Amino acid sequence: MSTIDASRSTDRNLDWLLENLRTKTPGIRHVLVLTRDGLKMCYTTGLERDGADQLAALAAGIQSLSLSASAEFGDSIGAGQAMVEFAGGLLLIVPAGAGAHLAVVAEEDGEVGLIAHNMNELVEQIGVYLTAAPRQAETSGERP
Amino acid sequence: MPSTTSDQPAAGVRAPLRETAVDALKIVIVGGFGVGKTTMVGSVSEIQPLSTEEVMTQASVGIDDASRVRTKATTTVAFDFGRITLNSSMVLYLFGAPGQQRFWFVWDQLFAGSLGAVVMVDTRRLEESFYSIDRLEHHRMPFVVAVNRFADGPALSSVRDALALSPEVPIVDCDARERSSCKTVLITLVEHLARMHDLSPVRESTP
Ligand SMILES: Nc1nc2c(ncn2[C@@H]2O[C@H](COP(=O)(O)OP(=O)(O)OP(=O)(O)O)[C@@H](O)[C@H]2O)c(=O)[nH]1
Ligand SMILES: [Mg+2]
Repeated sequence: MSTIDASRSTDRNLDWLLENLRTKTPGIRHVLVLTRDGLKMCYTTGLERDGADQLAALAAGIQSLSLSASAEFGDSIGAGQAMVEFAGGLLLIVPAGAGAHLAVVAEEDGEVGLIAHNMNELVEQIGVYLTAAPRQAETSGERP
Repeated sequence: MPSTTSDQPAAGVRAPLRETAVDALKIVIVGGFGVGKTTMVGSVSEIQPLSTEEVMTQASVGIDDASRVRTKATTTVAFDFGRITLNSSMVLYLFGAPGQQRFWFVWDQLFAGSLGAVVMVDTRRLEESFYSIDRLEHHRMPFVVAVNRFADGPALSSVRDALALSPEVPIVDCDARERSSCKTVLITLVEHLARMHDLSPVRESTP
């Protein structure tokens, strides 16, 4: 818990870029960057903390299943983008930097092409900062 | 006779064991973080298992306590899937659940249509299996307990007491890395299921 909260202060610039993605793209409700093992890294202000935790976990699950699907039925292994449509909304997820994904929750009638384009554009710009490093081998009893 | 048989619920639903030539049974494998669920599906599956392992990131330090399984570098973020043919008439479809609390929302999906479960426990962290057992009892799903021996630990009888298992619940030792050991666990579960299904009509006929 503490590590994530500590990292939030250094993520101010990222927060701003996520807010920017949201405000410049019609239909986007929330933006969240998550680690591949399902933990939130940073997210836009309208999203509650509990919602962010939930979104991070389920987006990681979806991306992991997408990866298996691409390994089984695609030409090469690699996480593509995933889209889930449901009554009242849309969820899009794209790979970000190493170890991370970028997720967006949008209005049902949001323009998917534009949203995905802007997401990928953001990843191109700042993907190198959207990374989550593997954890070090644990030494006994270590706590952050 | 009125043709009411086709839309009669319940009765046949819980006892499909003898009704089809090839029985496909959906089994879930649950338990706490890092007890060996993915390892078990991997060792016993006859097909390339579906795995949704992701590298544990630094963000997870302090959230996911891996101090007891230091070689563990990845964690299940959706579910494991594998298949094993026990004999000419019985195929098990195995679904390994994710162990960490943030993925528990997947469990209800996995439980749907399942006939039975394996609860994996690590005796050094018994309390982590309470949640699994509660959920299974809540769903009234039959289960067996598999004690994955990472190190020497208490005897099965004391584990049974500590988990407050009712007497009919089988408990067995297991090494999740050994195919034969995992297979024994699954056979124990299938026998347990058969026993329960054999018993239920007897109980029903004596109100
Ligand atoms: N010594 C020992 N190690 C084991 C045994 N079974 C599994 N392991 C190791 O313990 C770890 C267990 O990991 P997993 O199989 O991923 O556990 P899991 O229950 O699927 O974990 P989550 O999905 O993250 O909840 C791995 O590093 C295994 O190599 C065992 O019987 N003995
Ligand atoms: Mg696992």
